Amino acid sequence: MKNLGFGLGLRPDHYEAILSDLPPIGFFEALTENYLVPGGKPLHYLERIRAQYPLVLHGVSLSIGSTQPLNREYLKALKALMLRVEPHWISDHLCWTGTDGVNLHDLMPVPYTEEALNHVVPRIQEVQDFVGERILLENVSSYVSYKDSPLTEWEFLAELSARADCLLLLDVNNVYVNSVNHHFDPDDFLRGIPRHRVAQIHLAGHERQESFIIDTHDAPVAESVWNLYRLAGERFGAVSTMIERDANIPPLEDLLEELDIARRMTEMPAVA
Amino acid sequence: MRLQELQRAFQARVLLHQDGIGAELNHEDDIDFELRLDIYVEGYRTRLVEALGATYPVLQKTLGSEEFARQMRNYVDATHSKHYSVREYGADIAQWIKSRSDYGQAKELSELARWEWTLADVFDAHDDQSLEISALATVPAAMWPGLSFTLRACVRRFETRSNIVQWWRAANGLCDQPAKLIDGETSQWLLWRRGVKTFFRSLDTVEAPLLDAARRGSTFGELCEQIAPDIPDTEVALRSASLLRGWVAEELIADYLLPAENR
Repeated sequence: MKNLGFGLGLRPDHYEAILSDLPPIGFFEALTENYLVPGGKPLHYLERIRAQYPLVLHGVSLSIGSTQPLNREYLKALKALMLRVEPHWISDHLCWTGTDGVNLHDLMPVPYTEEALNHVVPRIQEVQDFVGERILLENVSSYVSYKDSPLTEWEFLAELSARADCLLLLDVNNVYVNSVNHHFDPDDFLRGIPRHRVAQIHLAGHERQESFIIDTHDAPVAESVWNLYRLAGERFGAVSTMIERDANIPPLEDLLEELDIARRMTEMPAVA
Repeated sequence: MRLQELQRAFQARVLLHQDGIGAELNHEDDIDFELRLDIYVEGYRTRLVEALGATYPVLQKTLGSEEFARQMRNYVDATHSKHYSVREYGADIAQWIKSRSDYGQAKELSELARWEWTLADVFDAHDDQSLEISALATVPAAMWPGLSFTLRACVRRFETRSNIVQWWRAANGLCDQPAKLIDGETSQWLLWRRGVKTFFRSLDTVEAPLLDAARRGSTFGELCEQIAPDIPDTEVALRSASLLRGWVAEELIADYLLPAENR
C-alpha cells in the first residue's frame, strides 16, 4: 500500500477550516458510517475534501468477527460509497459488534482461537471479493480476555492476515492499552506482526485508571504511546500514520502540531 | 463455549445484565473485573444516549441533561439498535414518549421529538436537482392543466397542535422563549433543504393541502380545482401559478411530468 504520509481523522468540526486553509495533511480518514447517508452535508463536505486530499475509509460496523451473517445491505452501501469517493483503501476492526440482529455499536473482542480463525478468515475473503480489494483490519482495545484463547493477540493477527491475505491497521495506542490491561510486553506484539502486513498506523489518546486503561480517543497521544510508536517506526518503516480523535475535538491546529511530533519522530535516528 | 454461544452470552451481559459470560472470562484482575465488564455494559448505554442527544438536542435541553439521560436509558433498555448506523437509532422516540403515561407533557414532548427527527431526516436526505423556473416556461399552455410535479426528496410536511416549533426556535436563539410547551391550534409546516442548509416555514390552510395534493401527483388543473372554493374564480389560476412559482423558487420541486408521461 502506498505511504500517504501523516493524516488525521476527518471530523465535522474541521470541515470549514480544512477547506479554507488547505493545511498540509497527507490524507484524511473518514468514518465510513457517517457517510452512508443518502445525501446532504456529510457527503457534500466529504466530496469537497476528497477533491483536495487523499482519503481512506474507516468503518465500525463490518462486524467481521460476528457469528451472524455479513450484512449485505451494509456491504452494498459501503461499496457505493467507495465508488463515489474512491478511497485509497478501506479498513475496519477485528471485532464483533453484535449478534442475532442487534448492533451494540461497540468493538467487542474475539477469542484468539482456531475456531475464531476458521470463522473470520472466510468472512474477510468474502468481503475482499465483494469490494474487489484487500481490506485493513485494526487491532482493538479490550478490557477483558477469554479463558479459552490459546493464541496471543499478535499470533492471531499474524495468522489471520496470512490466511485471509488481508492487511493490518496497527493501532499503537490499542497495543499499549492492551499490554497494560492484559499484562504483556508491547514489544512482543510489534515483533509478532509481519512487517509487510501493516499498511496504516493509528495514534490516539487514552485514560488511565488505577489498574487498567480505557481507550477513550479523547486526549492527546500519551508519552508511552509515542515511545511505542518510535519502536513501531523502527520495525515497520514508513507507514501511513494518523491521529484519531473522537471526542474533545480540539482545533485543527492542535492536531497538526501533534501530527508534527509523529513526523519528527520518524525523522529522528533510532534510539540505541 | 462455542463462538456463537460466547457472543450471545457477552451480548446478554451488555443488554440484559445477565451473568453467563463471567465464567468464560479471565479473572486475573478480580479486584476490577466487574469494572472492566462495566466498560462494555455502561459504554453501550452511554454511546446510544449520546447518539440520541445528537439527534434530539432540544428535547435534551428541555428535559435537562440528567432527566434526558435517565429517560433515554430506559428507552435504550427497551429498544435494541438493529441498524449498522447509530444515526438510525431512535426513530421511534416520539412514539415511545407518547406512550409514557407517567410522563408530564408527553404529548408535547413527543411532538418535539418528531420535529427533531424530521429535521434530521431532511439534513441528509437524498441530493437531487431542483427544477429551474425556465424549464416550466417551455411548457405549452395547452398542457398546463395536465401537468404534474415531483417534489424533491428532502421535502417534508409536519403538522402539530403544540407550540413546539416556536419552542425549538427559542432553544436555538431564534425567538423569545415561550413560557411553556402548550397544546394549541393546529399548525402546518414545510421542511426542506437548499444545498446543505435546512429550511422550514409555516403553511396556510390553502397552501398546505395544495402541496400535499401536488406530492400525491395531482395535476395543475386538479390543484386549481382544489383551491377554487376558497378564492374568487378569476384568481384561481393566478393563485395556483403563483404558489407553484414560489415552490420552484424555493427549490421544492424536482421535476414536472407532461400529461402524456402521466397517463
